[in-house]
Amino acid sequence: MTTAASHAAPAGRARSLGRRLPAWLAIPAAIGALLLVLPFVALLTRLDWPGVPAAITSPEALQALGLSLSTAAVSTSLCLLLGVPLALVIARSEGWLPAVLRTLTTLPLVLPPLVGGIALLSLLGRNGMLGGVLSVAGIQIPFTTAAVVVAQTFVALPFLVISVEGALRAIGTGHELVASSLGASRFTVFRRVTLPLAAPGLLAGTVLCFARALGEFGATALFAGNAPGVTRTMPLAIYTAFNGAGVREDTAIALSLMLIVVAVAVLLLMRSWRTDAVR
Amino acid sequence: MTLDVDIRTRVGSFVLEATLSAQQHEVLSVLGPNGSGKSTLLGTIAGHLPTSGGRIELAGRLLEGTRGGAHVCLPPERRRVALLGQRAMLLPHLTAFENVAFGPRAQGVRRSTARATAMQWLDEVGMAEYALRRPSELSGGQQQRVALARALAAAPDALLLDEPFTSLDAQTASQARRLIAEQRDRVGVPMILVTHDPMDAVVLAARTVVLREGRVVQHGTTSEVLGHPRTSFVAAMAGVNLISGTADADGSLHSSAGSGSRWLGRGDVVARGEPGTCVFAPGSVRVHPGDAQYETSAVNRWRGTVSTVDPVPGGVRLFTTEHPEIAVETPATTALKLGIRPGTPLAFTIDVDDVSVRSTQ
Repeated sequence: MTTAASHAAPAGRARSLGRRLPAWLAIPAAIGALLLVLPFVALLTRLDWPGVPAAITSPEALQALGLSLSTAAVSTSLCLLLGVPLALVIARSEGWLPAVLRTLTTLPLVLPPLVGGIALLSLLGRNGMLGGVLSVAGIQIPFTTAAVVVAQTFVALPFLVISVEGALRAIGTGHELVASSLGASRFTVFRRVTLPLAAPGLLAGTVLCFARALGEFGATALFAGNAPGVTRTMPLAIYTAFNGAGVREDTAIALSLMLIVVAVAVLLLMRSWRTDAVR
Repeated sequence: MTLDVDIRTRVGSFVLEATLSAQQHEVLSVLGPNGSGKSTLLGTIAGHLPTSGGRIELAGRLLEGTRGGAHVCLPPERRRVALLGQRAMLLPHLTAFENVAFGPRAQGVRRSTARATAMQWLDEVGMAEYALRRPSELSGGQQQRVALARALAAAPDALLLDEPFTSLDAQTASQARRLIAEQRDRVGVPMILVTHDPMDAVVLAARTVVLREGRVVQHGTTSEVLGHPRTSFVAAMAGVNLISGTADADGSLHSSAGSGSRWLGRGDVVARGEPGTCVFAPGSVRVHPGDAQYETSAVNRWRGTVSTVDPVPGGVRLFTTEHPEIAVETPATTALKLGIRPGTPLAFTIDVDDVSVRSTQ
């Protein structure tokens, strides 16, 4: 069980597998890869490069970026706070409960975010199930920055729960049982055994969650609206620029570039952390 | 310091009912086939499985049971029962040293004290120089040694060993056995050792318990349990023949297994009509040419046609069509002289002194 061997094995296997594959498989594989990459290449070629600095440093763009980054950070923290316990309950309980919870958690993943927006309005809107009670208390959520956070949390939470739950199930309970037999309380086991062992999954989940929150559009548009500085995040700013009165498509493309750069930066950051975590 | 167990545990439709104990400086070995309840037994003692009744006491403390009308069931972390399993289960994100210090730290021991304890135990198992290695940088045997140090550093009142040598190669396993034996004599915590290997029981355990289908079917000194097993499972494990029969007037056991046989041996006197068992080693059987003249119905003699022959160290092991229940081992020279191969007719005898008889009444 040496580290070198276990690290080398997958790469070696992948190479030999590649040689044994039927040659024609390369065609659909190449088309698939092109489908994923070509749109971005096209976007770069259509970019009005001289106009980019002005477009991305405009006050509107910076405002949208700032709002996106801060709301995504808050909703990612909320997802961690709520999602890790939810993942633990799903991974560690028995019977029908985990199956039901897992299905419910997956629902926002497969539904269009617009439907999520309508559902959130039905719950928290002025005449909604909870919204009525909240407005009596003087709290109004829809069409505020808080609504952006709620919408982002709603769509991003499943990503975190699913990857953390997968990690927890993969690590099993063996180490936890041994730790408790050594005298570790439940909280000590959670802090010193469960969390560190699940760290790679937790990190991957957090990054996915953040990226999803950053890109959230549909639920936000319906539930939070499109008010500059309050609820107009990057995706909404791109949409507005693209459909705007002045047809400033160039601005939309420049803003898209900005979002792509942020997303790539996040993914690269995760990669460097993960290789650290493995060592 | 004694571990006393008298429990009833239900897992699905399986019920384990067991009464056993392990004393200070003692290893009690538990033998049994898969599904006999060995893991359930350890899980119950460690507190990972709920009992449906019974009592577990350790070093004068009640771990589980009723006292003064109140039901007591301590959680695993308050039982002071450490586990050592087939896999070392070291925490991969901690060094060997941090793994060993985990128990004392988790129990609230001061950092400096915990460090000293950890270093002392690593030294005890000969792993001091590997203190700063991660588990992935250690061999299986080294990991298992660190796991033993970690278990003992938690200052347990009992140690449960669940086939701890199974995943080790022969040489490493015998080193690990020696280490456990040393700790049995030095530290003296009662140990329960679940094993598939009779060698473990012979080397480590003065007493052995045999489980079958959730019940204790044999309980005694290891030499008695392995020397005269009551179950075919342990007989196969110990590599001996086990024949059940009914006593005749002359005290010989009459078995109807195979083509029928009669046995006389040493040990218990079994009254006429009562059940008994006899046990003998396959190597004690003497093999003669098939045309040897003697009465076939005589005691400790039988005939057969070889059905299978397999090589064993120093000779061959054979079975016959007429007596598939009896394994016979004979030196290679004898096998060659008699031309033993499938289909060879042979005659067999065994000395009265080589057969051990027990009453099973």
